[in-house]
Amino acid sequence: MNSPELSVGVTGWGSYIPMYRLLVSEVVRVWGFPPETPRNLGMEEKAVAGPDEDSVTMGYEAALNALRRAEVSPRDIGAVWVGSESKPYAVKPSASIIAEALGITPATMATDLEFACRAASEALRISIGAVASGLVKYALVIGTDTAQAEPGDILEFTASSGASAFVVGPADSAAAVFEASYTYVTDTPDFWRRDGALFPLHTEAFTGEPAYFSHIVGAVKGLLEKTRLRPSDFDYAVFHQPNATFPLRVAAKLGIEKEKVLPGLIVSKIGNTYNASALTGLSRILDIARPGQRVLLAPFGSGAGSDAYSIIVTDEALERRGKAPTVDDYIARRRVIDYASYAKYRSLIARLPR
Amino acid sequence: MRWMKYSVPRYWRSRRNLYKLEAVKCRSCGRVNYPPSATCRYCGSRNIEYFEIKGLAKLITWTAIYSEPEGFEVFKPIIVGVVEFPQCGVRVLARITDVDLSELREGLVLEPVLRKMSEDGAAGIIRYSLAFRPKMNSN
Ligand SMILES: [Zn+2]
Repeated sequence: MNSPELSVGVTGWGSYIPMYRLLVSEVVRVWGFPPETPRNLGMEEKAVAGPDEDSVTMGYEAALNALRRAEVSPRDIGAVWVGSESKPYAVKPSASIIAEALGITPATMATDLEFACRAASEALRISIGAVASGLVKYALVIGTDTAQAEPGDILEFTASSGASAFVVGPADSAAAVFEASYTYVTDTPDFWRRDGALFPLHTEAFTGEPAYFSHIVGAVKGLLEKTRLRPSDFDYAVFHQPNATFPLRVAAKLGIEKEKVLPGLIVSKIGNTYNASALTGLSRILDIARPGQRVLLAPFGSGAGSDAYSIIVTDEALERRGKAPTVDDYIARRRVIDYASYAKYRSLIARLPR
Repeated sequence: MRWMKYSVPRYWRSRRNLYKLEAVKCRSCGRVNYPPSATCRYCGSRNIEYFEIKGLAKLITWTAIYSEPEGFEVFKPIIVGVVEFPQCGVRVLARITDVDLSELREGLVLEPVLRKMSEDGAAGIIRYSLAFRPKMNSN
């Protein structure tokens, strides 16, 4: 099998989670939800970006951590691809700001991609092609979001802020190598935000079966068929994490044990970081996995689509792990705020235009 | 132009110094010049080299600004401090973030982070710049 994935891997990985936390009990208190609502979602608290943070600043810190672990010169990065649905500018790339701040400009590609929560995952597949073909030596892929939720919407229990980044490069020096990948996309309107709308809308029941579950199952089954791998061949499985129950349910559908999902399942502590959701789960697995272990990664984006990846951890991961803060370091850095501060930090309080 | 209160060219020209901390080392007398200058301000030599200031800094002194300039409203109170990089001795005036005023003390170890500095209303440019936060614990 001569697949492009085999010559490509993750050279460095890094994440960022803002320090502020909103307890889900605050959303219950302010909006009068039944107390069991967050419990049914498996949620405890979510990460909130501070007033001076956005998807650019968070993506920058995640990328800096990935570069620290990759130990490659910014000059050798030939592409910076940012997946986000919360760009500070509707028009003007976040990628060029981050690339400039990291010293990667000007000899680089740089673009923002949008596909709800899976744009950064598609960037990962594109980067495999770009590195395998020799078009670039290294690509920097960033998933970053300050996810929006209308105040009082059930999304407010989960929509949070965070970023993860990966330096994708040649397999021979990688901390984890790609084995295969597969993408499954259809036109399914389960969640969207119209141009100019402040908040997204979603079709409550529709977000599950025909969207999240059927697309992830479609992508993972496609991957298994292509590779002749079985669910039992994987040591870890990381899925998109819109709440803490969906990933466990999709794992059960695929015949994957709960124990393989839990190490990468961090949504109950940080919330759904959208483009960074599954990727931060992968980042945590790279923080803890042993060389030789095989990881199934399956992000999902509304609209809708899913990508499935088989990734094998190498001994380089052990070497690179300590060169940047881990996901757990960021989860431990935590300050609880009340709903009023959350509303201020996320610009949910009406003020006159300046 | 009616929406633009900030000078875009000024921000664009200074972006290198906003995103990264640079200083100049004089090859003649060995002293460090910050902010960078093409001529050493200690000995007048033009034989200089640029370098990036990296690593941790410590807090020397600080103050809180309650009457904020336009575009800084949501960051109020704005904490501004003088921070020193022990290795090169450079002192920088910068915003301190992710911290309460009550937690600040002399010698607090800080690390640089890229943050939003201000916004030109809802339609104008966003200015990003380095700020400093207490060094995070890392295993
Ligand atoms: Zn001199």
